Amino acid sequence: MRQVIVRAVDISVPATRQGARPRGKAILKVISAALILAACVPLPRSEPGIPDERLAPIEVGKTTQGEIQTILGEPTIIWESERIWVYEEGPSGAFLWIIPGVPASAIFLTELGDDVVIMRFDEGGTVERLDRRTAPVNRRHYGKFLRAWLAEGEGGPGAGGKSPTN
Amino acid sequence: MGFLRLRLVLLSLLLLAVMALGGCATVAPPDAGELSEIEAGRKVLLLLRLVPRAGGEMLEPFAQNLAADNMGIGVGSFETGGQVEQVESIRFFSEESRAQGWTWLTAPPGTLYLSFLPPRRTDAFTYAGMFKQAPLWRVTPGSGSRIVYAGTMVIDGDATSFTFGGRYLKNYKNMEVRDERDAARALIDRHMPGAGPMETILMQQHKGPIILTTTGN
Repeated sequence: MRQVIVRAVDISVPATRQGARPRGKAILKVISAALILAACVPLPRSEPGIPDERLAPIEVGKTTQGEIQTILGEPTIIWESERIWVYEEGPSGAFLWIIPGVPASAIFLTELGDDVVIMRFDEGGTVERLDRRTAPVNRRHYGKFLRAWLAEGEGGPGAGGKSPTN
Repeated sequence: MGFLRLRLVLLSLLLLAVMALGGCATVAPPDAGELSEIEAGRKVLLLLRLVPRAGGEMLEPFAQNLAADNMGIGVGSFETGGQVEQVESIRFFSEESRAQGWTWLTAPPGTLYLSFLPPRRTDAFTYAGMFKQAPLWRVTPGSGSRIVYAGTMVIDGDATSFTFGGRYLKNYKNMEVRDERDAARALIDRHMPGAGPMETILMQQHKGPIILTTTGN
């Protein structure tokens, strides 16, 4: 999981002794205490961007590209040479981090990834594989994610089923 | 109080130094490592010219020495799923070509997406998000492409001034790609002699799904 600070919020508490200069040991204690007290709250997404009901009419081995487009609309990404379509659903969830500190505390979110519906078509344009996956939040790894998914379907590491809810 | 003020001044100077060094532009042709990547087909050198204009007058697009110069450039490739990310270090062949708006970058082969923005006047996260919303331009180098001139982007808008002098476009009202392949060829010949043929594949505005291609697949 890669941490991405989405927003930092200053919830400063006014200093009680203005001008006071804490000593080195005191600063270390405060930092240590802040790290110990740091809290992380998982914020799962309530429901998928593309609900299962919308995927239900899609039958692997039967449904065509045109029908998929009618059901789901235009894909977000098309990998042409491999006949792969990706529908991005949005963030799969996030962790809310709270790090207390004196005089300032910090609150930030780290996204877990982006949920996608990913599918591959055969040369005739019929869907031959369809999955739900979580794409990396760091887009620099997106190409690797696509290649790994392709490799799975071709018997590579982690080769799995063709269930829409996989 | 005097000591505190001195610390603040030193901290400010340090921050300025980090900003200047962290986002410095590079004036040099590709190095040996980059050339070998290009020759091997693992990277494509993309050459383009940016011409921001206000009232018909060209403004220097790369006058600052920071990453978020008078213009910001974003690039996306197969590796990023087509999503454009800000080019951290803008590259130039020479100071002269830099003043004229010529810049180059290397990217993985396949379909590339470009976007252009006025300089950053907000926090880095917001600015990064703005690249995703900016109009997209697409160029698809062929499988044998090594050096590609993607066109001259002429951008008309309203100018405003920096606090310490210089002008930049604060908005983009019209964007148009022009073909200056002869000037591009001359630039490549001068700075990369013997680098091989340069192709001209003009970038086109992109709308709709992101189309990904990878050469060699």
